[in-house]
Amino acid sequence: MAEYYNKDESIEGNDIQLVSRKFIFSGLHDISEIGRCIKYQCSRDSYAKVTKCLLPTEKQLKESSHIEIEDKICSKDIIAYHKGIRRIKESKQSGFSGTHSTGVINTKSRSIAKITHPFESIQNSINKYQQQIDYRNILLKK
Amino acid sequence: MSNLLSNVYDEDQLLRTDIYYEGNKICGEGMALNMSYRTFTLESGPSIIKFEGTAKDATFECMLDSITDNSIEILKLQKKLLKSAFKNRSKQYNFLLLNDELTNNLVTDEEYEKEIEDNPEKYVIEDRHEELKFSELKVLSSLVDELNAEKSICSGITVDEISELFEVTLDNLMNLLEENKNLNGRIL
Repeated sequence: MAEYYNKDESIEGNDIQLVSRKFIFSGLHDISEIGRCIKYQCSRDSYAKVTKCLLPTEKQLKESSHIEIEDKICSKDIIAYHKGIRRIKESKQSGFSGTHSTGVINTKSRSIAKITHPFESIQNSINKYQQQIDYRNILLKK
Repeated sequence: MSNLLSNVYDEDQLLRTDIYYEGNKICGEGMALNMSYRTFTLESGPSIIKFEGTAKDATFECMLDSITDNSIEILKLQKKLLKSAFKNRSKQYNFLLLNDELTNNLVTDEEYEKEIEDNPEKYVIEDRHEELKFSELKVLSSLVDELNAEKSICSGITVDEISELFEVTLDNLMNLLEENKNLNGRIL
């Protein structure tokens, strides 16, 4: 039981509770180990926690995933997949903050949730790396 | 010489190489007065584009960079990426429409399941992602920038969405940067 905040941290379980102020339902995916899954993007004040563990016979999708009960990931942007072809409607829960209510989804099936981050951060790494290479080339020419 | 793409002139080594299009081919023409040269070729696709010549390492890299800035390869890769983005967005849209019909009771549960079972290619986004080379990642990044410039289509897009849309995996990014560093800063 722990909380994780870093990018690419993930949790897996047979039931995951997703809590977010904004859910975006984003399509049907075919994930090789799980099968057909519904995907959600949680994009405001989100967290996800394991409420039911994987069975010992079930293989993890990502080796680095946290699978203990009550393991929790917190971030602005979280993506989650749960097995099935039907969307689960979120239930509203009041009292999340002084002014906002929040949405809650209990997946009740094989699920994975992951912290994601903007592509801009990757673009910045590429640009930074490219600058190093350019500088190196200038030095080589000299 | 027609359609000159670029020329590389290294004054210290008295070496000059011109790169240009001839029909559909990229050609090079070089002149060098130094002993330490290296041969290089650029090949691509079913109709092979071959580029041969000799140059010192640093010149070779400059040349390769100038080719890759303009080459047909990049256009092909951009086309492939845009095709997969269009395909996956269409699948997403189709599924949202179908789901909307279900919630509005325009189709029954059985019809909904049957439709997905019969036409998975219309609704299901496959989890089949390709690993990118560093140069390809740069192409993807500039493509996203271009899309961003036009009315911010991709503004605030996450790594996961990029991965899903363009069917690429970005999990190996840090390894990719490290590998390139180990190659003495050469981007290939």
